[in-house]
Amino acid sequence: MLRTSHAHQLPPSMILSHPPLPQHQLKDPQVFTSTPRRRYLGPLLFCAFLCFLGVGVYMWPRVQGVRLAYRLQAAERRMSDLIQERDHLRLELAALKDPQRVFRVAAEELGMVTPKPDQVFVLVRESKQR
Amino acid sequence: MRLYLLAGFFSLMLMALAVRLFDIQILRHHQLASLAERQHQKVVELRGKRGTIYDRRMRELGLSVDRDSVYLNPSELTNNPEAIATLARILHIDEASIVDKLGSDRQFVWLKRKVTPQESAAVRALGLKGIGLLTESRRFYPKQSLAGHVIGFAGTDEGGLEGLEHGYDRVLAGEAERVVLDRDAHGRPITLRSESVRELPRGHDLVLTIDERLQFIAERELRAQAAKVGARGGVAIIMDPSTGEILALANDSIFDPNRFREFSPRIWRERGITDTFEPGSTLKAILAAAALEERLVRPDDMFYGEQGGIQVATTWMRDHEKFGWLTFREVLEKSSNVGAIKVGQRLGKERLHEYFSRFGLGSRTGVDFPGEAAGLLRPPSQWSELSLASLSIGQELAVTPLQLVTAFSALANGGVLMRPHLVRAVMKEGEVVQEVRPAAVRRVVSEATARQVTALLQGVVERGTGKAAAVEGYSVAGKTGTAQKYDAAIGKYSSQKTIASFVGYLPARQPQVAILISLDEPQGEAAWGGIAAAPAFQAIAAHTMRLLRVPPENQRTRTLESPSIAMIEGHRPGDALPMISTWNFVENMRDLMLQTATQLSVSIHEYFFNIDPQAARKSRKKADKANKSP
Repeated sequence: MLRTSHAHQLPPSMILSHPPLPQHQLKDPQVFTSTPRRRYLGPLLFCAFLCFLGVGVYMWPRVQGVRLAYRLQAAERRMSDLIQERDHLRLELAALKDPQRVFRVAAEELGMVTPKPDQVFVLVRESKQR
Repeated sequence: MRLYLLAGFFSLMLMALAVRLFDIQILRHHQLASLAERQHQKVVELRGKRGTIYDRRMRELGLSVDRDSVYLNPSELTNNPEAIATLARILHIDEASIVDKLGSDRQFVWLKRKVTPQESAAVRALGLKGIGLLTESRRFYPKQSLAGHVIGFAGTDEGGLEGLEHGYDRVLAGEAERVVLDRDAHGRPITLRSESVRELPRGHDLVLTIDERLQFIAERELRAQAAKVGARGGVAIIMDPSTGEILALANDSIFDPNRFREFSPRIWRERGITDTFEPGSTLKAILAAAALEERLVRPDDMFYGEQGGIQVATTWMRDHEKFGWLTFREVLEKSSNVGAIKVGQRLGKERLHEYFSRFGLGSRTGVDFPGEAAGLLRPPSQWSELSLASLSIGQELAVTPLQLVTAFSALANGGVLMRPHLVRAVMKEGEVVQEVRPAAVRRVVSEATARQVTALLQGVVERGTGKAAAVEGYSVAGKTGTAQKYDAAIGKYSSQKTIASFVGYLPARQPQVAILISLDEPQGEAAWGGIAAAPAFQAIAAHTMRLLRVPPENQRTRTLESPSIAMIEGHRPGDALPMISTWNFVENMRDLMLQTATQLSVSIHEYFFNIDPQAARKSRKKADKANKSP
């Protein structure tokens, strides 16, 4: 309750029944000008901070999870591309080893011919002690 | 007053909000939650990649590779003529088809499936809204037409449609799995669930009995011979007589499963298994086995050839020559119809039918290939007066080429009919999960009889109608066949149209392979089995022996004294391959390396190709010059 120097001018109903404030408090107007709202501001701010912190703690893993999911997708995509490339190379290798192609290259490009039967010798290894 | 009105207004708004929240969060919670799930979750059915088909040496014959497919979301892509024209050019499709699809109500429409990597990269680079790429698996056959009829093909959705792809579709197909994917607000998939990142199970791999090298040789020689004699078609089969494994199964027609739509469906089928023909004189080998097994004949028994013809019922059955007295051995060597008919008469209807049935003629072999024909062998109750004679010379019945070569394999392996098969093993992730073991169906004749028949068939090749089938260095047992074809237009057997065959096995003493060659309607003088089919047998058999590393029976050998290694010493002018002699490796290391380097082409032994004589002389001169320099 505000106490002013004009207390003696107030109607009797408004005169406080409790004893007057000590002198040092009278000298410090701030004590008399502070409202009940300001007393709760700090706790309110603290509660708000806690709420934000809680929301942050709750949301952060989910946001991280989505980010990791995107990275995982990208990694999977990269793996898929590499597997695809490997399979294409495997396919190319198999095609290069096609007997029809090998024969064509050997006969047409390298000038090779099939040996006659009398040009083929069978080598027989003898296990003899020297 | 105004304050109360304002407060009242806001209170009403708050109450309305609360009611609405109650309605959404409590009353319609389940309904809205499922709607939301449908929006941010997508259930996709994914299938593991189709298994690979290998030949017996683990060379890929058919495999699946990932390819991107282009889809369109009509609601997102605007009708931009320039973009559509670019897209049509990249994908090589009509602009009109893209415009047509833009009018669709659906959110997902295929534009082009399984595009090339270049097309995929170009579409991705465009960055058009409403155009997306989805990875799918596509089947490739890297050896193109090699064994195309055997392998068959898989369609766009990787379902097997022909051949082994169809017969083993369930084994090859990867498992299907429904995967839940989460999507963000832009529709991009984000994987939050551990289940969806699990690897999808692939299909099983098949290892065939086919050897791609032998397949190549069989196809090449068959096609060359068919072209040479003007045949309409042909089949060549190489089989391991001891196991029933089919090493090669060739058709003369070319079929590339990568482009199956460009070929007529009648080209797709594997004629060696699905088509039947009258085997003709080749069946005299089975007749001989039956007669010997029943001890009705001996190789030196005499039969009169009736000077080229014999009356049976009301029909005059001819020989291709006028024969007098022949031994039973000569009946086979000269392929006398009269002699065969007389042997058949000794056997009688019942026994002849029984032996033909025991050898598997006229019934399915049970090969693991779809669409096998059974052939036709009527029971004796349905035979006419002519049937015994006709059947004795291999007419009036229909067999598949596979049945015939399987029957000959029984003679080759000592008298046991084996079940032919094309698949050797089923594998999963490099491990064999199922191995196909050789299966003996039944014993058809004794070992002694089989040996006797083999000796007689050797005479066919050494002295008889099968001389063109002789392979230098190897003993060959075989039989020619020239069967007249039934001409529906004239209602009887044609004198012009024949099926020329040769079936044999080598080396006769310990057969490694049995080979069948059959040519449909060879022209002119080449209409005979001994002229049309036997040379193809000879060529295929010679290559096969070399590729399988079967040493010749009368081999020319050089002996190596161990430890040492054979080296190329030098060659006579004009020789394509220098003489080989022993060389001491330790004493002449430098010469060894020099000679190896100059003779590098000889080391390419995959197909036993040799160096060109001119090139050999040039490289030899170079080597000699290098040797002489200090």
